[in-house]
Amino acid sequence: MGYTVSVRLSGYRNLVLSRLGQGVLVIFLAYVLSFIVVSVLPGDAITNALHDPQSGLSEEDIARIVAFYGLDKPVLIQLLLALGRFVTGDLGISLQSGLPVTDLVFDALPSTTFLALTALILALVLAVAIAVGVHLLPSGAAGILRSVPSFFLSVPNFVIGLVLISVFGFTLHTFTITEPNAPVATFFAALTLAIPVSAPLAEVLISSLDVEARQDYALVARSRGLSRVNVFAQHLLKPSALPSVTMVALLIGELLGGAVITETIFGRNGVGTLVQRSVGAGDQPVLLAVVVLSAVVFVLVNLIADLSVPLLDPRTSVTKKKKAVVS
Amino acid sequence: MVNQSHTESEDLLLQVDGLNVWYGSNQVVRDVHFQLRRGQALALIGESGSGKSTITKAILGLLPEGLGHAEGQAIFEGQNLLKLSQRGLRQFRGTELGYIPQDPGTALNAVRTIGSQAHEAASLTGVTDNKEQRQLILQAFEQVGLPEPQRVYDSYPHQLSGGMLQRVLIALTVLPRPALIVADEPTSALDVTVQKIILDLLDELRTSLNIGLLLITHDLALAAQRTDHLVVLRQGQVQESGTSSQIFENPQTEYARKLLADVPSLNTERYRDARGPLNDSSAHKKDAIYVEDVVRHFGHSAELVKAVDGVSFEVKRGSTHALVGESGSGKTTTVRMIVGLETPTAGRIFLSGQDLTKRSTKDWREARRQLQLVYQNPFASLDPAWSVAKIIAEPLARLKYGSRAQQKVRVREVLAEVGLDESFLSRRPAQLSGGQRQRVAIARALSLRPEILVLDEPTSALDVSVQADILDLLAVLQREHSLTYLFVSHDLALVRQVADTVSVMRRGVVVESGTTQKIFENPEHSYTQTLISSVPSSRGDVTQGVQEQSPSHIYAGAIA
Repeated sequence: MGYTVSVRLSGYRNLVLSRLGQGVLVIFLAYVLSFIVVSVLPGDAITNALHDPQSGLSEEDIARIVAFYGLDKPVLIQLLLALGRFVTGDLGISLQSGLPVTDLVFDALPSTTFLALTALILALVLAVAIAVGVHLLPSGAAGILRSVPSFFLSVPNFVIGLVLISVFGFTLHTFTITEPNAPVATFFAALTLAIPVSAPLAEVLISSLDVEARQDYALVARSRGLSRVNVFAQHLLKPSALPSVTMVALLIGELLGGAVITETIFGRNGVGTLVQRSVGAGDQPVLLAVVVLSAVVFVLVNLIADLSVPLLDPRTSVTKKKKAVVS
Repeated sequence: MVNQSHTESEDLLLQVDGLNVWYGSNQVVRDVHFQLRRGQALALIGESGSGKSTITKAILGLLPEGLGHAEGQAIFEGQNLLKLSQRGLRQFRGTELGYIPQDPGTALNAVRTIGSQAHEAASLTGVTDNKEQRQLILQAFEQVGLPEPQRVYDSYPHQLSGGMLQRVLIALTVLPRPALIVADEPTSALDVTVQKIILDLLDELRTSLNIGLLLITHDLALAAQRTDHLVVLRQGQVQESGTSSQIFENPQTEYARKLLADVPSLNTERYRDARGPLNDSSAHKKDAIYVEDVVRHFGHSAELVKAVDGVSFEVKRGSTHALVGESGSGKTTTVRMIVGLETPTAGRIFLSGQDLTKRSTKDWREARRQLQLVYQNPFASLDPAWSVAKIIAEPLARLKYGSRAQQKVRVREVLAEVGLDESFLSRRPAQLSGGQRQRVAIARALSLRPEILVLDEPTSALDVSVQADILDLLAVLQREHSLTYLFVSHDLALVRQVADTVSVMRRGVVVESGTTQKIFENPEHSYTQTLISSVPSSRGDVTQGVQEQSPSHIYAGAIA
């Protein structure tokens, strides 16, 4: 009474192609939107910045930059020029330093990437530890642990950073703030970033574990003689982790935003400090580049998450060629 | 049946005495006692809230932690299961005590292959080698009649049908050769033909492996057919216990008698006197419902699903027509087309002589007034935030029936018709029982004085005694307002009770149709024959006894 239904491989390929297309569109729109915001801001910011006596640019430099950006041309032409450069990977020249924006960004990138990745790993560890604790500890301790994520979420990022600096930097001397790139200092900077990011992740994990633990299959697994720890590890963890994958991808945005504050507080050089300086100086080409870079990272991470969920969850059957038994 | 025999005490598998269970401070099971012998089957019978599932969870130590609390004795292999720690219970679980859950669709982890979960059961046999375990699993799958065991092993749960999944679960439960299997409504989520196969399989395994079976069910007919002993429960207390034949032939308590009288398969003629015979057998487009070669396809050419593939039937005014079929038969799609939620790919539907497929949007209003739908699940079909008055008035307000005052009058009228008093007007669904909810749903459907009611499994979510009350009410309403019913159901026993004519659907086509009497007494199509023979009904002599004794409380109008 069984016959086979084969799901075509092209299902997954179509998903990949459509998601890629959407990603490219998002990045394009992010660029255009940022460009428009920058251009229509009151008081021709680029010209102001160029003629700021403190910029230290000579008249020739200014003329070169004006010609490069087409600042004497209408906004639409400027946009088309900028787009043309953008697709070839040329992000323009910084108004503040006169250096190519690409160089500035790529100099700042490694430090921020390292910070963000460390923070992400810490956030995952924290979130999983909290969720596991809530489910396996006795009810009293679990109850207290359950309220930890909302506490994490309610404390602003900079307060956590300042508390960590004053306790571990000044009082306990675990690290010195004059060496922001030392491993221990990096750890605390990452922790500052990780704590608020771990909270929503822990919330999602806890609630999906709650849901899964109430499912019949958990009861049936226990009736098969599995211990609570085994039921948790072998049965509940994987289905509960699936919603978290999407959540992690969404939290990347949080991570990028948090990096600006954290780097400033800890005095690290990175994309965050670059943004801070550029905002102060009205260095629009750099800001534009950072916005687009963030968009690219966000789109890529979400793309990976979108594409990996069907691979992890057998129920979304676009995965691979499968045989279904139907009776 | 307490202390039946000392000589058989060695066969005694499970002895429950003085079992009390609390959820918090709320006692849900009181002083329950029964015993089960090796190789025998005992059924715990009761309606929802009777505590039957709670009893089995208490015995297996699976009450929700921190909430449920059990006291008393459940002696199994010399140990009181209720006094054992979770660790102590684990030595019995799976190996000695097997558990088969109600809904096979949710009883396996959806993101793991069936094979990987089967190894959990196989490791209970003491075999540690992975290959040997797999051999055992494949053998067990074969034993329960699963075709292509290897493919089942490699599959994920969503790739198998409900019947196959229940076989998998039975195979895994039986694999470590437990002495006792607890089966909690093991077939209530399955189609009737699959139900019979699964129960036959359980019977066979029980006798061949000398396993004791503790069966939890709300279905008395099924319990009578499949078990040796019955324990009738009500509100956590034993009402009556004894051998199945004793209880069926001579129920001692009023409750057991009522329960037996309400089972459709034991009382096929219950509503027969209420309706006259159907004389006119010719089909007209003027009939209340006339469906002509209706087709509904889904999907594109390569993956075309022919949900409904040429269905015709007609329903005479004032009669009840039943659309019968198992899941996937197309009965729901057919109904959705009649009520206008789905557009036919081809074919025509007439309501009282008017071609529904040619209607303009404006005409649809009139059609809606004529034809109303009562949904399957009254727990989901009523907006929990609305009062009963607002729920019943909704169609009146939507189709602008009279003035506000007239609408209010109509709401009270129709509420009285379904047997609810005015104190219900301000209540919300959460304050109503299942039967009361379904009465409100019927009142809502009746408020516009429709001519036709489509009843989509109107009682399948209700207990059997509540079901009987609702069917009584529907019979009264039909007689008083000469309503036409289109009754969708998978429950053949119920259909036999209430329908005048029947269409049996399978895979999108009507395989057989005719009067209820003809279909049930002289089914021609082999599928109809299988369906009818799958209905758990009683042993013939028992049925007679029950009928003679059943109190005649038809149309008693008792409020559910």
